[in-house]
Amino acid sequence: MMKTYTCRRCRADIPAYIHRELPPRRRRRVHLHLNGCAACYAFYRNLRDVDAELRATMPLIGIADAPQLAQVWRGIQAEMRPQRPAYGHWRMRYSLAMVVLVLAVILPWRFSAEQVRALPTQPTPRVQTDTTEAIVSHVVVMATPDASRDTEPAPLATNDERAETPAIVRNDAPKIIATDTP
Amino acid sequence: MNSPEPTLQETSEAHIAACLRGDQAGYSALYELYASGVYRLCYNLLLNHDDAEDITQDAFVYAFKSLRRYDSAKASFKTWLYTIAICRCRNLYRRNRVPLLDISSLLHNPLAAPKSESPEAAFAHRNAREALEKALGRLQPRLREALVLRYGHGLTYREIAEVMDCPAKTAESRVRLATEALAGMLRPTSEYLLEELLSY
Repeated sequence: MMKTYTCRRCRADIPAYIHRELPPRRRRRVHLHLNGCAACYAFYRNLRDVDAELRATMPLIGIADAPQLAQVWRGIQAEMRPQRPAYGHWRMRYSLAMVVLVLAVILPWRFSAEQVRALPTQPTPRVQTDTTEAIVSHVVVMATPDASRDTEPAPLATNDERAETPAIVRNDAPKIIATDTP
Repeated sequence: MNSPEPTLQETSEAHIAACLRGDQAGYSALYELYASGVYRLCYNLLLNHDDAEDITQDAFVYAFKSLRRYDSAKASFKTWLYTIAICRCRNLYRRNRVPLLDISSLLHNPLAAPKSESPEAAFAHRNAREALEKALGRLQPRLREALVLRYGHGLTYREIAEVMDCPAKTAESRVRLATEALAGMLRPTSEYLLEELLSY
């Protein structure tokens, strides 16, 4: 059994041996090996010295002083504090963005509505009654030199006469004859 | 008959419960308990005071914000906090591959010698610390972590395994490899310092 316990295995066990963390049987094995092997014993002594030095020196490295720790604590408190101003800031930003968005949607719509109202509309058909017809024919007669001599233009009917005359007799049915050009 | 003194874990759990109830004093009590340890851990891994302060702050803020997720059945608060700190240290030295020079350490020596120490012995101890810091800086990050947790904070192999998220055997072998590597690096310095100490 001792023969299988090589120097390599012993050296792997030496740190645990130094720290007294080996089970009793393995600890005895290491002990016996160290008694018989000078090289492993030298290795053990070297490692034991380093271990002692590390135990003594390592806890002293990086000890923080009180002001350093107080500064870190202030930083922690600042980060743990509820970030109300930041939240309010974001809320304000979102509100502004929403207002801009709403304006961006509403304003073009309003402008376009006004522009549509201002655009030229489809001309509505004009209703020509016999009154306008009479006016037109009167003007035409007056403009013609021969006709002005031979025939007198018929007098224009008054509103009372027009009211008494039925629409069929008056030929008052609306006629769509022309359209206004814009 | 006096009741036994509460352990660190029991005290921590009482403070955690206070924090979860909304008691602000619980946070400062937890900080008082662990701040120096976490800071020292960060400094030992990063070897830079400014980075150590930043990471300590980050680790505590994260831990305080995630207190509800902490499960005392899985790990002690100390190992949980150390795990958070180590993760942040790893992130930092992954980002800064090139080691940074800590100017603040050149300007002042934060470790004052004990009053009982003679100036010569204080000088020798400071040299030993500086030599060890240099040697730590040359170690692989994982080996350095294992060594720091073992010797700087007295964690058991099982606790180191919890913090480093590896089997206990791996933690043990990392400590061994780190110790052997340091033995090779520190031997000349140790011999010189021993001679110097013996000469006084």
